[in-house]
Amino acid sequence: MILDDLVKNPGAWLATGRDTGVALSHRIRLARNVKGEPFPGWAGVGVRRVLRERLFETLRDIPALRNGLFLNMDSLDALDRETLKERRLISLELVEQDKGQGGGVVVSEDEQIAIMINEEDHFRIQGIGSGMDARRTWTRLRELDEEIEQRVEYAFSSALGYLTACPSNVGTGLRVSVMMHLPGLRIMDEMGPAAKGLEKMGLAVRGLNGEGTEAWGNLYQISNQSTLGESEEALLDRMLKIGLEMAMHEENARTRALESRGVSLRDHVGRAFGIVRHATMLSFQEAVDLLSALRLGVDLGLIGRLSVGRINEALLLTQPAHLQKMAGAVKTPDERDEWRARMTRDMLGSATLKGARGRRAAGARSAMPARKSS
Amino acid sequence: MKCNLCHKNEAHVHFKHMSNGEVKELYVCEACAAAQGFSMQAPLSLSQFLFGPDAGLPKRAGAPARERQCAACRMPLSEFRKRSRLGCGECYETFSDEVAPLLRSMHKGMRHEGRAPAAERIRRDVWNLRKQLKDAVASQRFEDAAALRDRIKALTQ
Ligand SMILES: [Zn+2]
Ligand SMILES: [Zn+2]
Repeated sequence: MILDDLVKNPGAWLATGRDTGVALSHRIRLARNVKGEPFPGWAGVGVRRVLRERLFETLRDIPALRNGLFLNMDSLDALDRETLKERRLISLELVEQDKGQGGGVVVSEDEQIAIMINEEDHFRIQGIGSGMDARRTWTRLRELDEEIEQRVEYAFSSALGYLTACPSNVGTGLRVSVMMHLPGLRIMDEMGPAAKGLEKMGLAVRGLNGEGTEAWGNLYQISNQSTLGESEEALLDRMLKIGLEMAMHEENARTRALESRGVSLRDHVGRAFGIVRHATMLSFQEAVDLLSALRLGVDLGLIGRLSVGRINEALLLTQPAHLQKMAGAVKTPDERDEWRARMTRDMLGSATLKGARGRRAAGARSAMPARKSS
Repeated sequence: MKCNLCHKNEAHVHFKHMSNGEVKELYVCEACAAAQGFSMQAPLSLSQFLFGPDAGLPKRAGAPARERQCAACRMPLSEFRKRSRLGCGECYETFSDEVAPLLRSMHKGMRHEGRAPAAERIRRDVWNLRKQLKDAVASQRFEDAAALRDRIKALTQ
């Protein structure tokens, strides 16, 4: 099964070799529909299936997708669909058994392009990349859009642009979102006001698996809402500017947090380090929160010999479906938590917790000897 | 689709009628529907619409007229109101009065700014060049006009 190979790789977009800083990843998507065909939500399953086969044929012809994965939702089991969602390749809509029928996804070889077929629209062309390098992702996406456009007539009106099932996507059909790690703002109690400010600018702020400004691991996704009346280039510029600004606010909050709440910040990181080092069972939410604290520790130089890339990778691979797929025989939730604890412990490897400046001689290493990873 | 009666306005009201085992359909605009004195909500048959409410036809001959629906994909207005999703590209035209206030509340503007499919882009470019050509001819800039003509020719070939 091809999907089993997929789960062993960290998503290419995680760019595990690079320190991405405050912005983990970005995602850009274009909503497109085929002229003269009913939108997927109104078409019956039979019509969706026929169209999917036709669009798969069309996409197979495109050089950039030649070695890609063409996955048909009808023939994937629940675990496979959940795994694809954890890799951010498909949405909840396609995971659900009934809505996903007649749906599909095409994933490029490097996993940076994922085209959902018959989700809310006929095409959801998505580009995923690490950090804030959204310009490169956009160029790739635009070229792909042009390739498809040569083979399919899109539903388009000169007044309203690309026509989509939901009026909220009409126009460019473009949504840009950035996933950001914002523990500093959270510690300084500034996340609420920051989110309000972003919402006033017409942006949506969503916490990872959370409600409002509550978010697992202080991970937030910031995205645009308006798609009509602004060009793609202008929106991209605006989003990149906002992303950089948010990163600056975050860095600033971290500096202030170190000054005014240094002791509790170190405690936060140190506790996470200790738990990951010694725990034998971890739930997914707990793991996300701990990994987030470790990430902050690495960024602030409180933890040595650990890369942000490895933490990003662990964030992806300790998700329930990924774990289930890799662990194979592991069945019960307890066994899964045990497996997860082992994975995060292994990830820590020979990482070290550093003491406060000036007390380094006392040595984090002697106080907390690094265990050899198994 | 244009109204079957005035052949001028967009048809937003759709009637269906069974007669001798045959389905007859009629698409009319709201103005024509109103002019005939029929409220949009009331169930209507094609016969009633054409021959008046007292059309001497058997009572059950006319199927009740449908609410407004998209001529292309048959999605009724009530479905759009329920799910806030359109049925096809044509629905934007059919339900424009319902969609416009939503667009106003959701977006920065009401007109598309940005990319277009190549065919559309060429159409736009040709339109602009033709305008420039007209100006050039009017102001007797014949060299410019010739160059513009060549560019239009290249685009429309
Ligand atoms: Zn009329
Ligand atoms: Zn329609």
